[in-house]
Amino acid sequence: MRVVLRALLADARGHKLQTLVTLLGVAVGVAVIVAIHLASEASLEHFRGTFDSVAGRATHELNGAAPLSTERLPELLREPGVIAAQPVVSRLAVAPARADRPARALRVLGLDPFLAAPFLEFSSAARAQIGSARLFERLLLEHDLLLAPGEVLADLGLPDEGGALDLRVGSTTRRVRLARLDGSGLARSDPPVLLTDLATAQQLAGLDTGLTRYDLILDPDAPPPQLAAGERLARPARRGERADSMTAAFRTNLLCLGFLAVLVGAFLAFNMAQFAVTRRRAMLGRLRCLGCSAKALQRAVLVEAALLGLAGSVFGVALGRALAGTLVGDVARTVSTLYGRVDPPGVSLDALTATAALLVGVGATVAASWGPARSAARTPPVLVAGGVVRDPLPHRALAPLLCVFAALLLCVPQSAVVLPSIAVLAILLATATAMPHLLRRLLEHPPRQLVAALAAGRLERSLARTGAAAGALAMPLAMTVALLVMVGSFRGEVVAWAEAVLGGDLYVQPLEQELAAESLRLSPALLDAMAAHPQVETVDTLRLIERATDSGELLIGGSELEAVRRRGTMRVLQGGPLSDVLTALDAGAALISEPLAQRRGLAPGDSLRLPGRDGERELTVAAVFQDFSFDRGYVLLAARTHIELFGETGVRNAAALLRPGADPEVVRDALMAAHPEVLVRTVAKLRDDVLRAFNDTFAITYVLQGISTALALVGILTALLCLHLERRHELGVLRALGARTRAIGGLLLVEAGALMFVAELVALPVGLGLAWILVAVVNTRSFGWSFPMAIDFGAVSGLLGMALVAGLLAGLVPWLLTRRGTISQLLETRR
Amino acid sequence: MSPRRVARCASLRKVYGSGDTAVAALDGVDVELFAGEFVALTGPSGSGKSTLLHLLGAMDTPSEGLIEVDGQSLTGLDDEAASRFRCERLGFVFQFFHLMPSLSAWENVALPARFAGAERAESEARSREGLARVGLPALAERFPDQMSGGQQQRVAIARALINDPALVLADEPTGNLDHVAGAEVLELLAELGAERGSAVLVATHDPAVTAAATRAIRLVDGKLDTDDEPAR
Repeated sequence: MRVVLRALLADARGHKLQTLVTLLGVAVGVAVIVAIHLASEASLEHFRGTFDSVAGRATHELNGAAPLSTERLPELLREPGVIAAQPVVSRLAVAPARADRPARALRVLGLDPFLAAPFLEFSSAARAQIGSARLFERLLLEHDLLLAPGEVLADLGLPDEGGALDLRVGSTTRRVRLARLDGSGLARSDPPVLLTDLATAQQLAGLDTGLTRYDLILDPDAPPPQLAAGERLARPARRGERADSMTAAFRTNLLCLGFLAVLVGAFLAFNMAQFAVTRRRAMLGRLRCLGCSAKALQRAVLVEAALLGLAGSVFGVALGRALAGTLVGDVARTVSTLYGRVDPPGVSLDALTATAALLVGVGATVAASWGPARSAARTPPVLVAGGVVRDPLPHRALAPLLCVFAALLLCVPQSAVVLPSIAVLAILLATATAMPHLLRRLLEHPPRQLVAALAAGRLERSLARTGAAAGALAMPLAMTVALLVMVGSFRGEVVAWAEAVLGGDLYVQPLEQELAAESLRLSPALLDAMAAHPQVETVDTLRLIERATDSGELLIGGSELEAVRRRGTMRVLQGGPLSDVLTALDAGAALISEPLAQRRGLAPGDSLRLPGRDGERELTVAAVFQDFSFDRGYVLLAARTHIELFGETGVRNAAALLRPGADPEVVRDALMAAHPEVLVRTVAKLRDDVLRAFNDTFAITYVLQGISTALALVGILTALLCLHLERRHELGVLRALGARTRAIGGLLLVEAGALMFVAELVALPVGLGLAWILVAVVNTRSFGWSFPMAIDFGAVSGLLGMALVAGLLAGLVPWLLTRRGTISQLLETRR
Repeated sequence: MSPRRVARCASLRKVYGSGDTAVAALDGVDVELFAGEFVALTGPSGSGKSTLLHLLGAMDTPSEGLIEVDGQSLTGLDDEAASRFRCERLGFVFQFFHLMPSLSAWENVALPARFAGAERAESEARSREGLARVGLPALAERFPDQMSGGQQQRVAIARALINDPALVLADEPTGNLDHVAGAEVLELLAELGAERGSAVLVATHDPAVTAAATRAIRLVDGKLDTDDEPAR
């Protein structure tokens, strides 16, 4: 076998361009996998680190209706389930506006330096800085000192050490001094955190010896601590839980796209292996004639494929590492949009990832070469030497079988993401394996036009590879069409929903809504000021609490629904006319969101048990309404019912309805000037924010899809290059017979165009089918959101048009290569 | 009246590579070809036979010297002019036939006519006529892989002659055929060339070709060795 392998490798060295194209195909496939993996890992790890540095490693928070006492600490530490506890004072503060900058919202976080260590996740640089500058000792001794990241100091216009700042907490303003502490992640929270000693924070907050909360690290296997009256145990912040679900969603999304990249890369490798075998048929035949066994030939071809796969994969890993650097910015941007600012982290390549990528690259190359190697080895020597062999096509029954498999997977109602995702991949694979057969059917009746007939003939004689290339392109194109339609449909519905439900003119929320613990409320003074504003007609408030139930957490809101009453802004999906629904609501019934109805199988008329202040209470479901703001269960009650059930929990959000002719921006500016601790947005701004968040959420998906499509275009390019390398003597003959170079260019463009056309012809219906799966199966089962599929034909045509142009440009590359040589050289390639 | 001169090469030189690796494939060759001639171009492998054919066919450019075919200088032709020259005044027959596998026999024959701008119907009529002339009227609809080597080479001859070229170049036209088929092809090539007044230049190792030729040119190491009537 060694002799055969040496002959193959010598042949590979002798055909540098072909070998380079093979290596490129493998390298690009591996690079995409590495890049997607590294970028997502780096961002998600960094993203998780951001939460840890802000929320700490606390597993729970202990809150109270009134400030908690420091005397509670020894009791807590004696509880068997409490691994660690730390007292915390956390208060919003405002650095009032100055001539050179507007007012800045900040959070003062007071900790006990002796107890905080288990909870904080500081970088090694931050720890070193704390040690060398004796920062914690200084916090204990200097009662006006707070620590802030360098970028916050710069934003406030303060020096790194000792800068004075007037800080307003509540109604009291005090002068403090700031020192710099980087690497703590404090700058990444929104608003930025100023870290200080517990006593300083208590003094600033006017809490005397009181606390905002206790952070706890609880043993999950031990019973929870005993709670005193008024105390409540909760997860640190909803944001942390959302981080987990976000991470899971991201991983699923990226995993699917990673598989898609592997599939496309494997098809590229298959294309290359097929080409190498085809090109060498005569040589392989001679080896067989000289006594080389079929088995030895097959082994040698596979070992050579493994060596080429390894070389291509090494290059691909390096390329992927470089590509990840650019990708990571996009992942960070998506995360930032949803959860506050996250700087793009550095990307590092670990040995495990590199090894896995090399294995995938080599494995895919060997697997892809298996069929071609077997076909070469099994062909009789005489036939191989003659070189008149057609490469085998994938079995005709494979595509229908894969479709049946996909249909069966979709029929399993319990699976929301995993089985439908496998079904999607199976359909994509079916598309690719069906492509050569489809291409053959289309080429059965070649056109009469000379150039088209020549092109059709050339494509038909290389069906195994041209079909595989078209299949490799159809897969990501179909997936992109599916995502475009799904996201477009979803976006259209969200726009319609936002237009319909945002009935108020101004929306008010605490500045740190995303961080919101339940203690965060709009002050009665603010609500009074809003109501008293001459331009405000009425104020709609929203009380919002979370309650754990047997079937998951519920978000329960209570509102006057003034905007709904006056402007009819609610999309009722089930439950009759809005007026009837509101009457039922006032009588104590509940409205539930569509995801909750889907998950629990609830419908109007059913009853819903809610855990109230005085025990469970059963409410009648009056209607199901459309809601895209919470994917967990959301229950909406009349404000009066909410207070009856849960007591006065305080107002989380408020909407102001302005008098006719009032300018919302003028009222917003007035409210924000008087209350810098709240965020006031006009309805137009809120709609823009909703859409921006939506668009940014899907931005990374588009980037990854773009990469997969680019990879497939490389596939088309390599397929065309292979075709060119294999058949360039034909072009020489045509030129010798008088064909002009532009006629040759036309021929090559028709070939490229035909492959693109067939790929798109298939990608469109397959993509629409996949879009249906995403909309009707994955979205409904995963989030409980149902919306009709809306096809934006303009966007889909734009995508397919762009891909066609890119494919045609790829078709020009062989033409440019043809122009470089003389006709003699082209004719020589047949010898 | 002396026969019309169809092609002339003067001080023709073709060098491949440069510096120390430069190789002169042709080194100062002077040749003239006349209408109705059937000329055998002989010489050992690497003597420059194929190079001379490619230069005469405007498929490559000389390093030095002059080439004129049918009164037209081939020096400095652009792609358009060279393509027009090849399809209108030149016919080429290859050793391996080089028919387009996806086209039928008549479509293959029609290619140069189509490249020269003939309409499909007209080129089809001329193509079928050419196939009848080479004795294959019944195989017009067949594809190359449905024909024998001899039949394919006849189709290639019909293709080379469809535009009544002044010069027909053939590179080892019998090299891939058996003895009988080779003889038939040779006879056909000589007969049709004479009938149309074309000069036929055949690069060959086959003594039968040399014996059938009206004149034999021998190249050795890129230089003209002999140019005279063949020994019979």
